[in-house]
Amino acid sequence: MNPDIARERENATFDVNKLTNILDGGPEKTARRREIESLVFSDPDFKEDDPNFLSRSERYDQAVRKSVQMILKLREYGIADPEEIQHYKSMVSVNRPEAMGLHFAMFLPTLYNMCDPEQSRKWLPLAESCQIVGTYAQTEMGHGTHLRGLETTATYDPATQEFVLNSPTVSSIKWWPGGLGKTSNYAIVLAQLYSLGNCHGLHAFIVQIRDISTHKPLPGIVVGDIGPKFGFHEVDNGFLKLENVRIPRENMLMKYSKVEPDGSYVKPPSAKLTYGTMVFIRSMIVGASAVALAKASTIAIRYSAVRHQSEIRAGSPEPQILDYQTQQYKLFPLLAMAYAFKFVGQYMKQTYHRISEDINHGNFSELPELHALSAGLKAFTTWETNSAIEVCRMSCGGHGYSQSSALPDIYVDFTPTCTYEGENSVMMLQTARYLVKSYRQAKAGQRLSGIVSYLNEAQNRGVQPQPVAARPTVVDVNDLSSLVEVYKLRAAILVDLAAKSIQQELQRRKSQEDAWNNSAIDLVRASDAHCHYVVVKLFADKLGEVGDTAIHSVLSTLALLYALHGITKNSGDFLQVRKITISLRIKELLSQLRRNAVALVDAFDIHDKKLNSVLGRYDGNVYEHMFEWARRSPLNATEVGLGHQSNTIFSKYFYSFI
Amino acid sequence: MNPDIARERENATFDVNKLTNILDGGPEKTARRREIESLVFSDPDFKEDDPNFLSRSERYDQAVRKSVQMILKLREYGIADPEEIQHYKRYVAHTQPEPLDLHLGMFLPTLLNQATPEQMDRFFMPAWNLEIIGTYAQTEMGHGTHLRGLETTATYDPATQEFVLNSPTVSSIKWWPGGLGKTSNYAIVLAQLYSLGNCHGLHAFIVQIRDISTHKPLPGIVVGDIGPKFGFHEVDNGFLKLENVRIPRENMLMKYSKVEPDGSYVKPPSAKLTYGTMVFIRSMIVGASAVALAKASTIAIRYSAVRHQSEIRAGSPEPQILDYQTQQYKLFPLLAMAYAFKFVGQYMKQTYHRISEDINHGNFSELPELHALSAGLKAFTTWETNSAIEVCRMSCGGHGYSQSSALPDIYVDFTPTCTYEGENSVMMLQTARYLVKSYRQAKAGQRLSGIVSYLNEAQNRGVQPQPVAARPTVVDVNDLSSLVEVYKLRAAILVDLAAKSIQQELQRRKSQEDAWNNSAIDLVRASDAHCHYVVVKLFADKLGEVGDTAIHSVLSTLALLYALHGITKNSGDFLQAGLLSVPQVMQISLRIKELLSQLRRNAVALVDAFDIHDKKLNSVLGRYDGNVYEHMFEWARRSPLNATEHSY
Repeated sequence: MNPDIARERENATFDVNKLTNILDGGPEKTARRREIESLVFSDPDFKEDDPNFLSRSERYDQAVRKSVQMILKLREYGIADPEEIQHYKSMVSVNRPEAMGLHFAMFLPTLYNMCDPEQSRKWLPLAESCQIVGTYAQTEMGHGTHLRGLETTATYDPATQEFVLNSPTVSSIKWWPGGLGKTSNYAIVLAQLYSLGNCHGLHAFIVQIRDISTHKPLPGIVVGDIGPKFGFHEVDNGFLKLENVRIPRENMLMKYSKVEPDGSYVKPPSAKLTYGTMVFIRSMIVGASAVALAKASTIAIRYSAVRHQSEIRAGSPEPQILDYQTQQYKLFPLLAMAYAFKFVGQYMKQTYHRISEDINHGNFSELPELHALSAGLKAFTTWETNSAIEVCRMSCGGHGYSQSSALPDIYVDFTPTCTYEGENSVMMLQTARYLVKSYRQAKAGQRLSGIVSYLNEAQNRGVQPQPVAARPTVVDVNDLSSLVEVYKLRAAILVDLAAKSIQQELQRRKSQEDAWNNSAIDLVRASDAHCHYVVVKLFADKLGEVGDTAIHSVLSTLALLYALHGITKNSGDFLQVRKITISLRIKELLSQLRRNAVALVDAFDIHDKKLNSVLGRYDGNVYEHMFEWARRSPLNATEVGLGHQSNTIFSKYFYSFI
Repeated sequence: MNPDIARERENATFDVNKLTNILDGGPEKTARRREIESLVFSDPDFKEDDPNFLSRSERYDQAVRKSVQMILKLREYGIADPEEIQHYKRYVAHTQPEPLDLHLGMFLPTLLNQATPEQMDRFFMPAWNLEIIGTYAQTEMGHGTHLRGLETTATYDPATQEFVLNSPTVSSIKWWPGGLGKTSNYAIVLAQLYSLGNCHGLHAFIVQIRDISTHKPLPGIVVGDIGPKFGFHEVDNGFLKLENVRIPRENMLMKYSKVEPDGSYVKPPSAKLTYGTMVFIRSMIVGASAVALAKASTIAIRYSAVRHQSEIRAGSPEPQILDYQTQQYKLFPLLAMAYAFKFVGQYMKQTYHRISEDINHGNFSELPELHALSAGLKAFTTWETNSAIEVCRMSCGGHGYSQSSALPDIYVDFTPTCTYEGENSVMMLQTARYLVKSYRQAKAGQRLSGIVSYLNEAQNRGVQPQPVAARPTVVDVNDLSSLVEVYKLRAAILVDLAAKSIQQELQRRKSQEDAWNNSAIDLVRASDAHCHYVVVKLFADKLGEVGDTAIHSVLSTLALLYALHGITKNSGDFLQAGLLSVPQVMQISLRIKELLSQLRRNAVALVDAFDIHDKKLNSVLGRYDGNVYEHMFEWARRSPLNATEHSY
């Protein structure tokens, strides 16, 4: 154990294990998670070569091998609880996305949700046993966000009782689905349904794309990998071009809508039913943000405790870089953010499960709010985390650029969350739509409930930006509930401003749509402020649940730092709300947190094998392991054993040309 | 040509070629750059396989082959002007870093600056002829920024008249030098010099690391590649462990300081001499920021003109995504920033050359200011560009993640500039040190000149944060020079705040050093505000040089957008200081929306003016002709994963 990092742990003021339990949701959850962890890490079948030293094709092969192993093991051990499967999976893949990800995350759930009973009997056993491996093909090369714009067609032919699928243009080629390029032999294809000359919009079809035994593409199917990407090296994101591919009528997923043998179309009973999966995935992404940020901040903070650099006092030994105020100012607010997002993630999961229950009983009343909240928070947390990971990486100096730090991979594998499952700007605007709608309801005298209820008060109080002098109240920067209040006011003001911008545009005879587009900057800003308020509020709420005094104290410091840092970063907004000076207080919080920084990342309890970072090692023995890692670089393999010829790459070119 | 992008070009209000000339520094420069461009792109010897489909070893191999070709061709064509070499190099390497960069960029220049005539004879010509390939080994695994902390030792042995070099610990292993891993057979090694029992600090030594003919590491040398990284895939950044490696006394670079045969040490005449290279490289990085941002914004804006998505009006065809206000708000301020940094880069280059002349005549007076400016602007422009590239990438939706967009590579090859040649936070603090020093001089009654002269006025006026009401607001948010003034006042106030924070810490009986560290957040903020002011000012100054009315008009819009966008992003500073009022901040938000729609019709023409050849841009999304989808499909089919039909 590196003595610096050992000393950090001695100085901590709270019981790390207890905080881990809070993050896991109870001691028994922690125990079970660690049990699964050791099950995976002690299993020789999951031993792998360091992917950093493999080609992309080798990485893909290794990932597929491990996925198949995993499926067998889950059955062997009888692990069936979705959360436990999730743990097991994340340990096996070390959080890396993998080729069979969509089979589990989209293909199977879609079958569960949208098959009629007969289809369930036919497809579920095949898919669950992985006799067929499927993906979910929605996005096209030229179309993403806008579902009505998708061009793939499925035209019903009553003569043969088949659908004929086509990709009529280059831009209609299915593009991006994970596992489509090489792995899958089936795909759920989203296509515009045509029957008897009418278009009935987007529907889902089960399409076999490869031969089960030879794995060769079937006639009319042009399929392949879309090439290397920023991250997701293990995944064969693919393309799919359909040329008059015929599938039986029974391959349309018909639990809700239907095409009868004669071609007549039966509508689904409610449009809200397809809502649920989207909301679920977006809620999960909030939790994924916390996971990624916990990893990145663990690495950066542990390394900052063992790295020494420069001098604060001339002639004294080089201090740990964690003693520099600039380093603390970079990292501690992000650590606070990681905790904030952990708790928001817990809240979203609980809320989703609660509302799912309601929905199962036919009560959809809370779905719109959850839908709006999950969209905005997905965007808010992924954008924040995306920048934060890079701050962590760059705070590690040169070594953060090495793949051995794991930080580059954490970033490239995380950043797509800003785009997939709803592009972030579009997400922010969805939330804004809900906010503006609520605002108008409040204005019309309707009483709002739930998280937007502050818009009631706003109406009553006539909240609006005012010159600083006119606003007497000084915010108590030591009182979290006072800060929650100030975030709420800011959100109210920015929603008001956005709504007024739309109003002004309408008065200039703009159409509703143009007024909306011309107010989009304000709308995104309002959504952002709303989400920020929700995060600060949920963090404050969580503190109420924490009984342990030492942990309560350190979490309160984190919550305060999170709230105050957010205010300084957006001080222009807040100065329109309240007179507020906080820069000194932040410095105090930074030094208060200094002694607990390492313990706070230890509490995330990320196993070294999962963290997979020479900089972030629990024992702090960075340099020896970095040297050892580097020597295994494939570029070093060739020097030894080339004694019989002097043609290293160097001399091969230099002397053949000169 | 894609009809959408063709229409964009028809709608532009200015002559693209004339603007390109302004960016190049004159029509003859544009012509010469294009000549070199076609020299490279028409040369079959530079044909390459798409690096995206190669392994790292293959990429390295290909890059070395091209580098060697390049050096031979430069000689063949007699291209010797540094700027022209730079252009040629850029076209060959597509702006990607490559293994020979440090040989050309550090090894040769260091010899030129620090070698004695005798050493020049021994090393320079062989290095010029590529018999010797060198690198520059300074950074160690455990030590970067702080030169006194470096652990490698060179101990003089008078008995044999040799230096004995050692890496005494794991953390002292040289780490990161480009080209060290596989390519170089020589290195300039920075080591603590010990002679006759005394340490004389860091000095440079020429060390042979590999056999010239077999290329095998020499005895006592442990050398290799440090493994894969975020970007720089072509470069063999390396490690070097020295175990009692003996080199002749004559291998210490002795133009300035010296070790005599008996071991006695002769000091260099001035410490400022080594200053120059650093300042030069940092100034160049400012220009490199502009280049990277020009590429990224070209790709994002062209693609946004051909991509259609969703609906603004129900039932209407899907609009170009460039018509969405959110997309304009993401991209146009970055486009303005790219222009701003272009002009700042030009300024830094000119200033460097002017001051270099002075230095050659023994006049060092302007060097401290340039040193401070280059440090801060290096940090300011690279941080801003770093985030901006990612905004460009993410504004392209899913396709921005594909290597075929080129955006991932632009990012990973650019982001190290935030760390190398001076870590950005450290750079900001260096500039802050100069600002605080100047502030104190002004306070002591000294009259400051140059770019910090605003600190004089601040003293006179007693500038400090005041409530809005107390400050009569005279700012005209439509007038660039008024905005320059406001940026200047913000900088003055934040320098004042930082200096006062130090003062307060000292009053709490903190030491100078602790007071400095406890004010570091304020100091970085002050530096940032100073640099921001300089950028806005230089952009405004540049407008004065532009004669063409149409171009002047569009550049003025860009400059205004750059300045106003910076204010909204930092509105707290301006409000808190009472420089702007709440209604003014709101007025600025409205004004920004107007500027976005004004720029809409010229957006594609403005990136066209960067004149980045398709082969250099190397992006299916950013193609000049806008034919994105066909080429993306064609590119994807060549993915190596498609070479075999896999069955598991």
